[in-house]
Amino acid sequence: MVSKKQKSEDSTSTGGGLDQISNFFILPLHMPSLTTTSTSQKSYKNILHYLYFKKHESPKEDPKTPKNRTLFVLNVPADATESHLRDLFKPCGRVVSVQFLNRVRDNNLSKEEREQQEELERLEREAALIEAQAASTGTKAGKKGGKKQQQVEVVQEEEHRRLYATGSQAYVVFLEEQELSKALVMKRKKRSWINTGADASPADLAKLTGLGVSKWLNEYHTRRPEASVLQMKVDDYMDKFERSEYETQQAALARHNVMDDDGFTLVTRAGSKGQNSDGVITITAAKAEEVKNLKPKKKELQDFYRFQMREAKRDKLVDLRRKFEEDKLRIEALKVNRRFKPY
Amino acid sequence: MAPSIKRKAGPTPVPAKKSRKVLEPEPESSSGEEAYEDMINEGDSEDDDEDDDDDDEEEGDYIEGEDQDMRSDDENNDDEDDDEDEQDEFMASAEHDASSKPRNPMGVKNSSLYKAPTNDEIQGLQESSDLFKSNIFKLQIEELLKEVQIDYKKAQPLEAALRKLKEIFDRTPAHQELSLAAIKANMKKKSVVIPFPSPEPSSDIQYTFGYSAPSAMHLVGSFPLKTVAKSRDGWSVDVAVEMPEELFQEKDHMNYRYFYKRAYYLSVLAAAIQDKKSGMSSTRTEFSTLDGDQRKPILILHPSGDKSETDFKKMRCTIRIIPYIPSSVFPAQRLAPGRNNVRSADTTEQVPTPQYNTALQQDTAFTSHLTFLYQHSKNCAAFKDGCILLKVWATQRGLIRNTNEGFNGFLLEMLMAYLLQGGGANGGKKLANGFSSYQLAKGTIDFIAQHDFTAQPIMMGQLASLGEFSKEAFVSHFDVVIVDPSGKINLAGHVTKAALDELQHEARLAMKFFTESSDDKFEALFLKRVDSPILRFDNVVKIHVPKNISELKSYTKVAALDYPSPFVHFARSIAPLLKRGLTDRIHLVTTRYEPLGNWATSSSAPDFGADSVITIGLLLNAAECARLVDLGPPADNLEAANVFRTLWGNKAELRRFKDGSILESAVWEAQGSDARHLIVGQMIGYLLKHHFAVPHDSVHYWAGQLNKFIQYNSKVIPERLFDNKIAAANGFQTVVTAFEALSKAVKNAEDMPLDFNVPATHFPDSAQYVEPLDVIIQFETSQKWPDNLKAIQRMKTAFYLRLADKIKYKGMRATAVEETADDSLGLNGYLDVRVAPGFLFRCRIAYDKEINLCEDIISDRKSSQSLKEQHQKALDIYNRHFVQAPMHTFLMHALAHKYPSLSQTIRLTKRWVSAHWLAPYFNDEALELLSAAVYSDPAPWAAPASGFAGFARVLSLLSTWDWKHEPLVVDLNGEMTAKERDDIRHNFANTRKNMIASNSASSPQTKTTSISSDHASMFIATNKDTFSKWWTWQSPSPMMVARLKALAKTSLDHMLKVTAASATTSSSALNALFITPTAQYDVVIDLDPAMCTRYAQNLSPDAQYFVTKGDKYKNLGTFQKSVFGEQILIGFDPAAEYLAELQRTYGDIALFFHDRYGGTQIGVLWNPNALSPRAWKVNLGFNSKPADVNKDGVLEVAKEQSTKAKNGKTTGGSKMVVPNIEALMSEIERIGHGLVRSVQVNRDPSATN
Repeated sequence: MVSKKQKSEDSTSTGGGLDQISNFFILPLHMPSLTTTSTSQKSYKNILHYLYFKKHESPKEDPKTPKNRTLFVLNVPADATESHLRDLFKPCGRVVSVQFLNRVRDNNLSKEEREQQEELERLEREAALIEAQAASTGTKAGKKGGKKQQQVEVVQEEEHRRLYATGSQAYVVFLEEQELSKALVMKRKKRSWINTGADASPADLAKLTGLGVSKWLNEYHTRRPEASVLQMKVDDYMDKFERSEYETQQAALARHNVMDDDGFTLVTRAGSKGQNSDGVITITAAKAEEVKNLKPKKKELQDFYRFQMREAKRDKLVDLRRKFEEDKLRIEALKVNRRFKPY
Repeated sequence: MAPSIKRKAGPTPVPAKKSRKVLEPEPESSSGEEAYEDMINEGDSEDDDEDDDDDDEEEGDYIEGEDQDMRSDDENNDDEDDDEDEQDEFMASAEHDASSKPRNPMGVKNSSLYKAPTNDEIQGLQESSDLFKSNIFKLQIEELLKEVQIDYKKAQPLEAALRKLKEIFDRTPAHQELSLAAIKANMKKKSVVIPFPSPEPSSDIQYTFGYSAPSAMHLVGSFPLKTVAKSRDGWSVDVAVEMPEELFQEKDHMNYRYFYKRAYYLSVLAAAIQDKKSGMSSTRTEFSTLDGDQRKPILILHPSGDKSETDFKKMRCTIRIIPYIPSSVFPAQRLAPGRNNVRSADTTEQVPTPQYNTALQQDTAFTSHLTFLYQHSKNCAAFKDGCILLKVWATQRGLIRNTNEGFNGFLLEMLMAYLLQGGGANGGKKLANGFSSYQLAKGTIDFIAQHDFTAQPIMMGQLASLGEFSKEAFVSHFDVVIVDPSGKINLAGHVTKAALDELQHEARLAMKFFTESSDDKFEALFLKRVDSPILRFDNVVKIHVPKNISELKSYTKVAALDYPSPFVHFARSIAPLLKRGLTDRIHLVTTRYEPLGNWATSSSAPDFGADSVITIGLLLNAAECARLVDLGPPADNLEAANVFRTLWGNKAELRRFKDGSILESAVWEAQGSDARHLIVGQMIGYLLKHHFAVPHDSVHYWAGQLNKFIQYNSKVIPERLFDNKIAAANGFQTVVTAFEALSKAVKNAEDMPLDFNVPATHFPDSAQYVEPLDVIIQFETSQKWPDNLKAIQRMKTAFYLRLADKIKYKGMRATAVEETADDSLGLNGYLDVRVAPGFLFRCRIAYDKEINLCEDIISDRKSSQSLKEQHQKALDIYNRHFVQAPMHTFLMHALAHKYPSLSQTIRLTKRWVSAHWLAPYFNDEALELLSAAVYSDPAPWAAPASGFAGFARVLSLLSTWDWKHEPLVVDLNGEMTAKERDDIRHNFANTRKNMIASNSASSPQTKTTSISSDHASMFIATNKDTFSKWWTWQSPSPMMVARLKALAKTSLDHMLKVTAASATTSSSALNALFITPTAQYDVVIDLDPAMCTRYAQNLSPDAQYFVTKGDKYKNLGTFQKSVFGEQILIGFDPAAEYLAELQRTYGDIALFFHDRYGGTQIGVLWNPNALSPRAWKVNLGFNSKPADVNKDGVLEVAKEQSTKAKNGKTTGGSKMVVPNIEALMSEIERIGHGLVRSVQVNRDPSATN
């Protein structure tokens, strides 16, 4: 096995720059071989994965992906982590951050919708961040004991390893611009994703932890936090929720029947759902449909006029005919699909 | 009522002459009919002058009748012609306005509907709804008749053959008074073995044999009546050959002398045909029996196929030559049912031989019966079609079979004819001459279903016969009595009570389909073949007939007189015995065996040998069949007690019961509901052994063979883990008890000072799985809930926590769980409650205002698209959990209560689907509905009463259903109206239409990315879900449905083959049903069983994963140490987690297959569409590699290209990419770290590209 590796290394390290596909550099990576029992034609020993990358170019300026320091990496393996990519590009320079773009799974969305969704995701992330900050300040001010536990929990959540969709994308941000250009002139060389062989380093093994059974087990346990922790979370949320509810209510009240700058007053109704109450008695307005149903229906004489009878007769015939026509069509359809041969 | 309308034919002239030619062969053009008349008349000699006159008269009438017939047909055709025109017109216009007419999904043009009707049309429309059940039914009958009727135009060679036969018979030289030895020798020379019935004539007989030309030849049976219905085995033309009277002596009706002479006569005929000079020697001839009666051999002629003028191969029929005698040969009195005509040397007692007598009598009546039927077919226009319908119905059910115990087509025709002259209420007629074919067939079936044949035997004759031919005389000697118009012959003399029961059962079923159902049951009634015992009956028993059958106690010397074959006697006596022993545990017992079949004229007649098999089919009474004790008469009723004791032998014992009574009783031992449903099998085995000395190993009982697939494997899995006995004994009761405890605890959730501790059980990993059972908690409506969906989720969590706190004092462990999935609007959390002895309930709170909140946002114009989608998703989840699932469970629960075996069928079906690794694609609910469909709409059978039959029916349904063109309608509470069915049909049509539209519209690229783009490829609609949106809308894909169908077909074939095999097959032969072929998957991922928490449910688990190695005694051995630690992981199944992760990540380019119940393998199929090379782009969506990269990662072709394309804009390099299968596999293995043991690659699809 070793000799084989050696050989492949020789052939790949023939030097020269990386191949390209549509302006993207192709970076072959060696993947751990499969533990197989039987293979058909091919050996599953020397597995190559291909990353594509190029310099990130975007008309919009984003502080997270600065213009001349960001590498746009494609076809990232599903089990990629920050440390994977950091290790990979370490030879080129210092990696400041790695950001994964989870591919939008639904291909049917239009471009506009996709952008919208991305925007939404971003907003949610921000909201979560703010929420977390608020929570931490809240606990600071309020309960004392809770703080530590919360921190522990945050750490736990970070431990969760996330899987990316197959063939997803990432931004790798370098510290300096030269480091990026160094990456763009990478030489052909053997690079491994993880080494699972006998000579695997602890760092390699760490790249496998948090995958598979341990990942699921971890998820299982996070779903079932201590009752007290969960209770606290709920209480926090409800506190905040009630506060914000109260605020919006106050804001609405403040706007209620107040003249604006132009001298107009927007008339709104204060009570909800058509209920008017003086605190003791509540009067509910009747709904339109209910009112309709209240009226007793006038009974119409069905066969009083001659034309009514005639029409009824005609309708009956039409019905019969229509049914007959439909049935014949059905038989035609049946004849096509089903043979009438009983045997 | 109805018939009169047809006669009042409207004044409008009959215009369209052309239509007649198309649909009905003109009688003038075919010489066929006249020829049959000829044949009937030709042979008539002086002794039946009356008949001759009759015939002449008839001939005149006949033509008139035919004309009438034609006219009414023309009317029908007329309508149709008009309609067709209309239809064409509409077809042309439909394309313009199909979309604008939502009310007419079938697209009928409106203007044509409103035009003034003609009289004809009104009549036609009226007629089909009055005379036939519906238009559809009428049209379907017409189609069916076209298929089974024979073409009389092709009959010319047949006529020629018949003429030739007559010529041959007449030419054959007559001879007189040859001894037995002489004729045997003569025949041997011609290499014909005389088909003497058993017992063979003894060599010392004094009487002699002779031959002279037939005194007459008649075409009899259905061919001249035009009531032939083709069947699977073809059809036959019956030629009755009258043996001259002078060949018989006065005493020839005694001791088989008639039958011996008849056999000789037949062999002379056979020899004559085979004679090289006959001109028909190329015709293959065989002997057979008439309706399975071994006394009466007949001669079968197969077409020669030599294309001569007498070659009737095109008719695809055989000619049956049946010798008979005129009724004047023997005085009728001597053959009365009570007479003895077979003497025995052993006994002087003259026991009646009714079977023998009838067999002889029936040989005298061919022509008179034909005349009787002919009269009726002349008077009743639709008689022929009615007969054909009736026969098709009976043939499909295997009710017409060539063994001497059941009904035949002739008997059914006679019954229908009889009903045209009687059989109705108060002595009136049951059927009228003006009835349609549908009404005739239905009326006859109705009569069969309703009539009490025992209390009111049928006497077709007008006058009551007395003395030896009285009703009482017949009843005392026969099981079933249907006496012909002459009043002397019991047409059903050979029919057993069991055969009648079977016929009546089928007739009752058919009436149910005719009347009660709101659905069109035409296919079930006429088109489906339904005689496979495994599908038809709840339990099936195969008996290998014991060798010493002739020495059985029950086959007495006396019995031998009337039943020369001990086998036939044995077969006839099984059903009555079982019926007596099984009492109300069963609804029906039927027996059947293979008929003897034909044999070459040069060999001697076959007999039922030791390898014969009798098949018993049982329909169980679900309510009673699992009873443990059979109560007999009280001890002091000596006579009855004696009967009981002879029936049960040693099994009978006296017992004192709780109410103080002392009764004879038989007690059966069985533990658990599964075993208790096999008691009937125990009883049958015992009865057969006790009464007929049939050893147990030659009785094979098909009923419980599949049970082991839905039980834990007790051989391997330590009993401490899964106590089969307890589970089996209590069934689902344990769960119900546990649930009741929980609901009680939740309801009065007050603080209790007592603390029970549930002992922490410790299972090995491979058995650590606890399946959660869904529970819904509904609070009273309150205004205090917040108006925000997210807040509601938190409130629920708060409730879960509170509830968990409250009920933990009641011996239950509860854990509130919060899903970490990103969708926080749907079901965000739940409460897991563990209840002794080990059940887990997953409780969720339902709050119906969530629906409104979601709907508000969805319908709000201001909300963004993604917000709408998000809420739609939440709404779907909510509906599924809190609306659809409970409704489904409620309906299924009611159905399972009604049909106790339903749950077993469901379990088998789920197991089977999962065993074939299809579980990821079929919802449990969908499978439950599939199983329920077999019960709620069991046509063409009755609802099954055993899981074995239920499962077989599910397979049959799956293997035959045409999902593309038919919606499966499951009427769960039996209250569906015809309108609802129509609605469903329309919904289905729309769904399919859209599907086709979307398919053709979508570009090939979008197709490849989403495999299951079309909806409800398995359209299952219920009363509540008329769009099939609940359970089968998204999945399965058409491909999965096709695969399921193919698997069902092979499984069912295998099941039928195994159960039909005559040798007693081991029950393990059915194992193959649950073993799926793995070679067809591209990749098979092997999982570590120790990590599969559901491994205990595996079909063939390996003991080493439960007990540490080296432990001999599985019950004492220590369990394997768990890597998951001490605590029980609720519903934690790594294999399922892995599968879900694979589907999430790679769902677009591969399909994953897995057996949910403890499977240790995952099958992978690459999506072939995704494998082809495609242009590279940024957002490709799968792990790719450049198409032309070599194995060391260097682009090869690209370099050449880049040098070639110098003036191109490309900067060099490849453009095309393919999925990187190897890297994908490596990824897949890493994702399953810890669970995946190895990966087998069967095929590398990229290698072939």
